[in-house]
Amino acid sequence: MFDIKRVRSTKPIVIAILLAILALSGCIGPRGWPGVVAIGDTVFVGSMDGSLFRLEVSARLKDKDGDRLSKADGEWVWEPEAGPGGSIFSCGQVGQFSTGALYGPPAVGNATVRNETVEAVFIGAYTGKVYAITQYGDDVWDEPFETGGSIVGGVAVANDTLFVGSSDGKLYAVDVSTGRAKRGFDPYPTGDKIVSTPVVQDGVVYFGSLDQKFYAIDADTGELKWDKPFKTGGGIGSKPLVVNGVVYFGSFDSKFYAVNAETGTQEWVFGEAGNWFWAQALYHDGIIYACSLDHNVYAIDADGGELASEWHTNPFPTVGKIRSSPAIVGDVLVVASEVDKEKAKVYGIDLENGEEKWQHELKSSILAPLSAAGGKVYVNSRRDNTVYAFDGETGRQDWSIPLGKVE
Amino acid sequence: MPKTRTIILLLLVPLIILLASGAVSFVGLFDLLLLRPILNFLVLLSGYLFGSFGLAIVVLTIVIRLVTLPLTMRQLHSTRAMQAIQPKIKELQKKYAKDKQRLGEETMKLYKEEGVSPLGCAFPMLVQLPIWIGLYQAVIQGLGIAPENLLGLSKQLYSWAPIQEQVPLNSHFLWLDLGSGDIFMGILVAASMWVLQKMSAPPSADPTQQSMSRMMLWMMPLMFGFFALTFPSGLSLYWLLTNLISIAIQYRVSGWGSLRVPSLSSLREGRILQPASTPQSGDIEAPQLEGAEADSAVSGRKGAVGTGASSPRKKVRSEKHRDKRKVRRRGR
Repeated sequence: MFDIKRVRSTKPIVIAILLAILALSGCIGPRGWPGVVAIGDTVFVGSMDGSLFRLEVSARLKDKDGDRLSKADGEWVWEPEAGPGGSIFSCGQVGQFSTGALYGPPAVGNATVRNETVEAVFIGAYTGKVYAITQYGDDVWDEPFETGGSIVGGVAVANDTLFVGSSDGKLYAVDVSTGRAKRGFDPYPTGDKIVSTPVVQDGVVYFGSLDQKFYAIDADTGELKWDKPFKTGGGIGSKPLVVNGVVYFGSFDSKFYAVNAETGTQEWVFGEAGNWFWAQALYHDGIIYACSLDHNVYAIDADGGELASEWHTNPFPTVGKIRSSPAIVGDVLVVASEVDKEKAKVYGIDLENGEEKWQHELKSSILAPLSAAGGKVYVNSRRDNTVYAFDGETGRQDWSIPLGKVE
Repeated sequence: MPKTRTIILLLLVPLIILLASGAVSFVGLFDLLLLRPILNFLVLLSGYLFGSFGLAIVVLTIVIRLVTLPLTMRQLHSTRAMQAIQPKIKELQKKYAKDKQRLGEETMKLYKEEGVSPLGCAFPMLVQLPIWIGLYQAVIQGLGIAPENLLGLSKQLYSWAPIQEQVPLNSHFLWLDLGSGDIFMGILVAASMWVLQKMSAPPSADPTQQSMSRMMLWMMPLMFGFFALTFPSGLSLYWLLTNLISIAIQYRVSGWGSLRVPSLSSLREGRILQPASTPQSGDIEAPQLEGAEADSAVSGRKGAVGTGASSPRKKVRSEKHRDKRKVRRRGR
């Protein structure tokens, strides 16, 4: 029987339950899309729990046990310090669900430890900290370098300096030997978060910001190289590509830009895409390959900005949004496209004519950039936290390793 | 009522068919019908409001309150009607105390006779829930709080240029970062909720209801205050504005209610009674007073309804006060 008193007394409980449903309904939270980078036979790959792995491909193939879960010689797992805890309601804030989600791929460079130059891996975490790890898996710096916001893009290393963009809107320069802010380089402020990975070329750092502007700053002084930043019609999240004095990048305004690296003036703009550009473009033999969230791969003439005749002026259609940056292996362009939240398709596209050479379906979403080395392409899949190695020419899977199960 | 049922059925049947056939998932349907319209409306609005996402939330809140105003008024009438028949329900409870089945039947019969829907009070609250979830997700996805949200935004935005051009959205409004919780916003939400609860609490002499009233008067503001601390403050902004608008409606319909500072004369006359229960924000309830006593106690409130027999104890007390005053006047 209905009793108004009873309804009133249970109201707070009902509302509390409804609010809890509300809280959990939208909590995707920062889980990360850790990247992979291959240098020769060595692969550095981040895992979904914020750890970094060094894998030795040759050791795995020699043992004919590519799928092994025990570590091979020279392999290690580095784990970050625990990050701040977070409330389940604080969606998107640092510390939720994960101690330090990784987004950008690691970068490999050199660092000086006790007057000795060693190979080091650098990685930025969502906690806003940048770490340097030696080739043996030890920390290079006493303390990680801390930025004022979360780090979503990758890092760039050149001439003993590491550059990283942060969600506090600033680009930081770090001395790789000491792990401290580079002297004479004040963090460069932009109008919004920086989620793109910077690129350093000829003493200039190129990067985009969500403030819809693209910047070129002097790597030594931190001063703007151009008269003013290059303005687009949308946020810029993609890593730029610098080739032959031209910077190429896409924007959230669904346009792809070519800008003179020296002057910051527009060379051309490609406006035929139907959604954002998020992934980094690639260059091969006079053609720019740009992937859009409109499901298409565009082959654009690097000089004129028109669709390339090699691909019969047609884009290559994939099954879904292309969020991860592609890779080139020989004459094959490898692209990962989203089927749905639980599946992705990896395509091998013939660079010569834009025809599909192979495709492979994975039961996971792929958001991190692909990496290619030694004729292989490495894919770090998100859902199953597994790194896959494919033969670039045939698409055959060489091996896979679930990172969460490595002993 | 049958017409409403037909409309609801006409809307529900295709939705159920779509879900059952697997053509769309529940999440996909939610995104299509609620999240995307709210999100795109907010993004579009922010474009016309100097790029301010906060102002867009303000306007959206006003629009939602205007759209749900008929529901709010219906809730008001339902609550009033429910209050009005409480004496009759009590009579039935006494009469059929030992026969629960008969009590249920008779109560339902009474509801039917009086044209009261027991769910009339709860319906507006339930209607608001999808709006909360839609707005919550719109704030999270719109502001790209987690990188995954930012990336997912491309899927939710309509491909109209005026909408696409607004990305990324400005997450700053006044002192707030709309994507993060805010302590001051938590205090404001809790305070406004307390005021609303206090205003809308009808007086009662029933000790059980008084204790329930006291509990809810503090529990609801504290609960919402806590959520406002931890949820993105864009959603808290919606709650705060909703509370303020509800306070305005409440004032318009029934004055300051229990929040009113008691006048000296009313204290002398013993007309101040304790609040009985605290309805949810947006609830506009009549006091649980009865007969002439009720008319007297709520003389300052507009639209208050009271029916049934008055409390003999209170009447005696009131008469005693009157007698004392008479004696004092004579003494002077």
